[in-house]
Amino acid sequence: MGLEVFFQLILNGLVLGSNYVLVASGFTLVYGTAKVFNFAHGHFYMLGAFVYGGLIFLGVPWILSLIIAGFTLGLFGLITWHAIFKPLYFDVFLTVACTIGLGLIMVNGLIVVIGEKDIIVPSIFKGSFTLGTTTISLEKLSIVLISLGVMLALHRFLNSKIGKALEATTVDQEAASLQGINTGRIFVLAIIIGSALAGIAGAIMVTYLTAQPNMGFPITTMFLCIVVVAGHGSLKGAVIIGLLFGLVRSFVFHYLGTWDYVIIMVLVAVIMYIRPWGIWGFEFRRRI
Amino acid sequence: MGCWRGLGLVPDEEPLEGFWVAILKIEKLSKYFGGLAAIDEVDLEVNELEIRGIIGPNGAGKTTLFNVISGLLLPTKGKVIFKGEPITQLPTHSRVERGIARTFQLTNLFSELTVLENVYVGYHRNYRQGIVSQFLHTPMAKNEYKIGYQRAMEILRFMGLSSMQHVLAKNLPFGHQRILAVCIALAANPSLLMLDEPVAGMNPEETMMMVELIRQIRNQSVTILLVEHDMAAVMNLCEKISVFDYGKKIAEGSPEEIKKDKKVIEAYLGTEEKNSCNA
Amino acid sequence: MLSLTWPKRLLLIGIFLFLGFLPFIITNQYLVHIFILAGLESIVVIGFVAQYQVRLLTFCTATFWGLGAYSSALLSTQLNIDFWFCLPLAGIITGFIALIMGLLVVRAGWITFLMISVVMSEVFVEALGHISALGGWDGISRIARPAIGSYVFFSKASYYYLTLTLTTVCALIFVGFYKSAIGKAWRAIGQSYDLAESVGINIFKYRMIVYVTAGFTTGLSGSLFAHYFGFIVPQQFGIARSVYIPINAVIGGLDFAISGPVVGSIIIRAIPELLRIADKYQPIFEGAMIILCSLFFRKGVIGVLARLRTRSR
Repeated sequence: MGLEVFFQLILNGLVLGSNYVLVASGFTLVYGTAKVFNFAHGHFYMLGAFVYGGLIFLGVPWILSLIIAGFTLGLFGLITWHAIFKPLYFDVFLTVACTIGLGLIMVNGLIVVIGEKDIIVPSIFKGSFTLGTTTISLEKLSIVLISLGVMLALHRFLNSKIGKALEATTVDQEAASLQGINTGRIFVLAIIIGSALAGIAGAIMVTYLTAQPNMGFPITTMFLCIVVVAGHGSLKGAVIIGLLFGLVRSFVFHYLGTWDYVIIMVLVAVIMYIRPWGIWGFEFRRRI
Repeated sequence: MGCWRGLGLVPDEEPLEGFWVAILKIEKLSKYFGGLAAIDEVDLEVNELEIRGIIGPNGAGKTTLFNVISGLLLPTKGKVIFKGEPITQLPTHSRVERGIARTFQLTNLFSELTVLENVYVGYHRNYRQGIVSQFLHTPMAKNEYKIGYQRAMEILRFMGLSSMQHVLAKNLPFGHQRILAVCIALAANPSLLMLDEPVAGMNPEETMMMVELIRQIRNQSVTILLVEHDMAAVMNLCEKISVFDYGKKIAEGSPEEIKKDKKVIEAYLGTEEKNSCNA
Repeated sequence: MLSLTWPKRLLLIGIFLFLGFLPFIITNQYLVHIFILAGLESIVVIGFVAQYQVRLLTFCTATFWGLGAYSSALLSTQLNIDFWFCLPLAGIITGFIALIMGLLVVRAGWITFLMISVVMSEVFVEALGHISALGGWDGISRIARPAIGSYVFFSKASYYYLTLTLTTVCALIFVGFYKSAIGKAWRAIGQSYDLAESVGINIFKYRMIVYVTAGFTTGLSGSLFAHYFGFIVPQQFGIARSVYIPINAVIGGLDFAISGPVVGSIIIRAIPELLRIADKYQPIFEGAMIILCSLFFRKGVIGVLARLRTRSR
């Protein structure tokens, strides 16, 4: 395989992977920290994409659009917390069922308004540049760099005092609350940030893919797999596994076509079997 | 109440050989959580039809010991031998089949079922009919159900809960919930009944009632092993006491001996000192 | 719980009469079609609720449905086996596969179980699509209609009675279990895992019974589905299908193992039709219903009815 192809595959993998990382990190915050199983997380991704696309159409500069998309989804997450997650907090099954319903409404509501077409959002970063013999598309590079920027910002945030509180709540909620951390507020914060991340991820990718109401579905299985393999609550794991999955899919797709999805799935099943609490997860003391 | 054997509810076994056969034997049992030893090289022998108490300060490993014996946890090292056979690696339900039943420190009930249904479920392990027979509701299966129902009613009468048989378990007052937990364990027809803090949270009258009930249970051919913090109850009820501290057994003997044992006093006093320093 | 007091017996008789004469009461053929779909779906939901009772949350109900459908379709189109043999065979094949999968998966924790069911769902669809011998993405078509002698099942009414019979049979299978000690053991496992274990219930064994039985009945439903529609494609049996099954269960009422699924399925399928809700609004209706039910009617429709009855006493 030529070096040129190799680099392209790496780049594609990073594009996919960094997107997975954002969504999976968001879900890790929502599920690992607040212990809320938001099945509509993938549809938050979709909503972010559409908000961003809409703003771009209106001529709003992309950075602002990105931030607004993030805010909107954060707000959406907050509303969902108060409307659905908090009342149903102790019932995992009903939360899942409810968020499935929420997803139904979101997707089909949008289909009713717009129709089921794909909407192409024009890329901000057009063109490419050459590095030696390889042509690197600016758009792909921008996706990777912007995602990196967002993750770095998240990282800075997590090293702050609030971030430590978040981490403590993720590991042991009871102990954290005994330490004086207001776990209720931490939950809300985690959900806001997690949902915002999903929205931003959708926004970043929308110029590369097309915007369509069903775009949340493939992302949902992927982030579930990533979080479960990495171990719920582990952000570091979500990042590593997210990137890994992106790269694996990129390479496998090149050689085997659409079997890449199946291969990932089988990999996930095997890992779940060997190490059910994920690679960086904490062992369940007892099975439910 | 009548001997349970006479009712044909206990499968025929060899007759008891007297009080000095060890029904439960634990050899060098250890359980490590990470680097921390919750129980460390514990040797213990419980004789048949004994009422044995396990005491010790908090964190001494008593509940962990129970969990390893009943099968909720697997030990890191050592052996658990019940009625002469090793059960160390067996899953919990197999141990129940052999005759071990337990209650939990935090009351564990089938909250949405009635009192009667709770005990009735407890009888489950005694059914001998297979899946097909039960699915088809054969007369033999139905007969077993009837016996199970009768037994459940008997246990409730014995323990004084029969007037509440149709109350949902979650609606019972606290003391009755603890008694119900014991009823459920009894329904499984155990040879060894392990009670984890049976009188925790009970007032003196309830405690006395429970102590008397436990004695009567023992008189129905059940060995009793219990963990308890209420010293009055323990000294009153137990014939032999094993004392634990930091995961190790530090003393064993009759209540009189234990009361005077220097190591025991130190273990408990030591705790008191630590507590008073922090206060 | 199915304790049959006389008022309840009368109610059941009334319901059975209505269901029994439904094709004559309802003349709109499309509505009969809806009831057929609701019936087939309710079998799957009954299986789901049974698994939920023992705390097994599956998202591969559609996979077993597809296994039943595909086995039946292949037996019929490739081996020309009569429908009346295809049906039980499909159930047995699906039940057998459930047995194998169950032995691997049922012991795992609930997250592993859930994720592997998700994975199975996706792998199943992809595998079917990629293997042309199984029809590929175009699926299998021209699946033979059921026939007795020279009478070929053609009218909606005939399929309706077929579905009614099958649903009743599957319901009875589960009722048989529910009323026995096995059913009591299931409820115990659902209420308190630790306590059930501590009274000697072999949780793995009882979960396997649920899993295999649910697989069997779901397979039966899939088989009838295939022969009713006449053609099947892989995408019909993906995770999207599995994910909407719990909705029927919650709306009917999770505590009611048989009536819940049936009522839930009928509501989800028939109400939009009766209210003349356009196709494109139907999923929104479903989503709104599930959210409403989860938040306000946690015991589902049957639960509401039960509460009204106890209040009127």
